[in-house]
Order: sequence, then C-alpha cells, then structure tokens
Amino acid sequence: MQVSSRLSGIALSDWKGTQHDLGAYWQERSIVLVFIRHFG
Amino acid sequence: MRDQIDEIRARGAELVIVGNGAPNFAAAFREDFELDCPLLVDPELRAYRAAGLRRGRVELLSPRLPLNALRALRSGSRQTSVQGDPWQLGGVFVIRPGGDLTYRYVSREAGDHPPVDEILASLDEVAEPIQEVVETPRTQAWLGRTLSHIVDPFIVSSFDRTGFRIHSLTFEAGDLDEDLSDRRCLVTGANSGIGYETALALADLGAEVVLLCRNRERGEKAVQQIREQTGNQRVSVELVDLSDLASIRDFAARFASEPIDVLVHNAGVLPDERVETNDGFEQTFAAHVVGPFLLTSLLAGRLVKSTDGRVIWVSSGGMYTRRLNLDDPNWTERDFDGVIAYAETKRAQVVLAELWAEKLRGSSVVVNAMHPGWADTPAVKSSLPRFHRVTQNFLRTPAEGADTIVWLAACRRASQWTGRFFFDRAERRTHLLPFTRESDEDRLALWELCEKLSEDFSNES
Repeated sequence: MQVSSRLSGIALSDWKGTQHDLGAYWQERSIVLVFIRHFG
Repeated sequence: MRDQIDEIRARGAELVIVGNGAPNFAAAFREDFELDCPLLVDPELRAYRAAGLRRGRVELLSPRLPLNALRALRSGSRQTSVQGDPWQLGGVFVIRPGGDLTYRYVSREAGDHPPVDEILASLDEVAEPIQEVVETPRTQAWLGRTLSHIVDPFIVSSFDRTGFRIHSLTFEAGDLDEDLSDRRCLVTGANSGIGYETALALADLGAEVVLLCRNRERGEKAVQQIREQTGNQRVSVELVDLSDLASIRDFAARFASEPIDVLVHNAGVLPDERVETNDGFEQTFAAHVVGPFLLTSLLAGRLVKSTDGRVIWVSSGGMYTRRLNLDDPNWTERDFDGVIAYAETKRAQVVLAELWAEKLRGSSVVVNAMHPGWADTPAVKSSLPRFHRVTQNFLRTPAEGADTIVWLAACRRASQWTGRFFFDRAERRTHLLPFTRESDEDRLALWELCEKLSEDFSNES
C-alpha cells in the first residue's frame, strides 16, 4: 500500500483544534509533508 | 524546512508540518517560528506509524547526536523542553496530486535531516515517483516453499528459529501494513513472552490493547513498557485469572458495554503437580479449556458487533502428540503428568476453535487456532528447564512466536478464514499421526462438557 493511501484516511487537528483529512492536502497540488520529531 | 517555504510555494507546492504534541504546543511553535503553513498535531502518532517513521531510544543515543546538536545550534535552532513523545523520530515526504510519492526520508536518529536541495528537486515535474509497492520476490517465495518442504517433516528444524526464517521467506510483504487504531484487542497472559510480544505488536499497529493478566504489578509493568516502546498510550491491564470462573465473570461484567474486535487466548500454565482450582478443576484444564470457553461465551455478544471480529486460540505444537481426551480431564483417576495435561488441553483448544468457528459462522467473527513453534519464553524456561537447556540456542524469539497471532489479528486477508489452524502464517494440518483423530461424538462431548462446566453459555452469547 502506498504511503499516501495509508495517510489519506487519517484526520488530524491543527493548532486551533480543527480536524483536517491529511489526504485533502495533496488533492490539488504537491506537498512537502514534514514530520517533526517534537515541538520545542 | 521553514526557511524554504517560499521556494516550495514557487514550485506550486505547499509545506505541511505534523508534530507529535498537543494543539497548544503547536500554537506556541507556530508563533515562535512565524509559520503560515498548515501545522497539524498527531499526539497518538497515527500518521507517524502510517508513514513508517522510526521510534526508539537506541536511535536517540547515536554517537552522532552531539554533532547533530551542534549543527542545529549553528543554524539558529534553540531547543527548549521536548513536547510530545520524546522517542519519536521524524521524516519528510513529497506527495504529488493523486498520491504518488517522489521523495521519502525517514530520520535514523535525532538531528538527522534530509538535504533541502533533494526535497526541492523532487518537486520538479521531471522527478520520477518512487516505486512503493513492495512484493515478496517470486524467487524468494519459491525458495521458502522449497526449503519448507525439506525441513517441515523434521519437527525440530521447522518449529525452531531456522524454521521461522525459512517460512518467513514466503510471507507476503505488506501483510502487517495495517492501521489498527479503530480496533480494540484483548490478549490473555500478556505480561510476558508470546502474549507480551503480541500485545506490543498490536499496540505498535495502533490498536487499543487490553492485557488480561493475573498479577497487577507485572501487568502494569508490561503496560508501561509497551507504552514506552510504541508511543501508544491506549494500552491497559485488567485482572483476570483464566483458571477461575468467578474472575472471568467479574471481568466480563466490568467490560459489559465495551466494544471488542480481537480476543487472543494466549494464557497458559504448565504445572509440575496437579493443582485444583477454586472451581474444582485441574489447573491446566481450567486455564486452557473451561476458562477460555467461558470468556469466549461471555464476550461473543460483543465480538459479533464488531465489523471484523477475530478470536485466536494459541495452541502448541505439542498437541500433535495427543488425542482429544475427555475420559479424565481433571486428572482424578491417573497420575498427573503436566506435559501430557498441557498437550491434551492444547489439542482441545484446536477443536474448540473449530467448534466456535461453526457456532459463529455467518457472523462477522472468525475463529482460528495457531501454534507458535518453539519460542524462548520465561514460561518455557521455568516449566521445561531441561528442554530449554538443550534447545535454547535454537529457540525462536518470543516475537517470532507471536508473529502468526499478530498476522491473524491484523492482516486484512486473514479474515477470510475461520475454523483453521495456522503456523508461520500458513494453514497447517491439525493431525500428523492417525491415532490422534477424534470422533464427531468426542467433539460434541467437548462442547457439552464446556457448556456444562462453565454454566453460563446461554446468558450473553
């Protein structure tokens, strides 16, 4: 299974608490998806 | 990467950042770095796991860590206290519209970042998508099947670590490429050995895992270790003694309204001497047969509400040597032999898995049995010290023993089978010797005996 397929069903909240489907971000344009080790 | 936002946007792309802390940490992070790109939080590490990112203490103790920290300082980064999971590592992916991946970087240690020019290059239109679909090479699978035909007739070289390595050549890559974050799994006897490794692996796939243990202290220690190793905080312990029917009923009552997707019957005992339980049963018979039967009965009503319920009976290769024996299951008329009691009850578990599969056929629940081979577990070391001394250099690891349990619990295509018996992710015969076959009457008698002894079958199933 592609990484994008595994990620596309996952919803995460933003810094304001609003939920976003990860897959929506690459529907219309390319993205650089950065997983940071930690905040701080 | 934040310094390259303009360059990324100039290429028609967007930067999306995921962090593993809570939203308030993200808000402070956004303010500190003046970010105007999407910033998401993943405190349960679901996306981190789905992306295959690494996690662990060893990776954070790299000898290169001081150099990486110095490099970060030179670039203007000032690390404050760590928020979120301290053991999680990061990574970078470039994903095109439609889902093609043109760049993947999985950090190997703290401070290990990809070269920015490589990331920007992967945004160019000419960048080729990465081939992601991993299949087990045909030659490897063929070699695995051929070697299996050679070693499988010899029990030792099949059940030991060599057997696992040979059989694993045939494993389908991607079978455990699953996100179990919407699944709740119960594992009995999960504080050590194969049960612990099963719980660990299921938690690592994102499942909520409940460890059913007899000893609270050991259970809580296991929960803590699993949480630390996986980052999955949805791991808990419940006290249940599978050889005590009242204890099982208490647990089922406490869990009366909880959804359950997977039930793993792993708890096992191998006493030297005959021990009688509170209910008057021989301990091995109680813990392997009557107790798990009652637990399945009491939880069946909740398992059928799952869209993909699975029950897994962890039997033993030792069951191949014994026939189903209901003449004296409580060992009141013969001299007790723990190894024979163990093998007879493990044979009964295989039959019970088949009978439960029939009982639940047509529902969303599948029931299968498996055996783990010979694994180097604390139970084997304490219960079979001589066997352990002779074979310890050949035994599988507990994780290798747990592999087929995890596969039966997690793999999507494993839901197609019910009433089957597995070893190393492949269906196996339940009899190798002609004299071990039971009659239909024996099978019916086992079911009726379990119903009678557990006395509770009709209440909740």
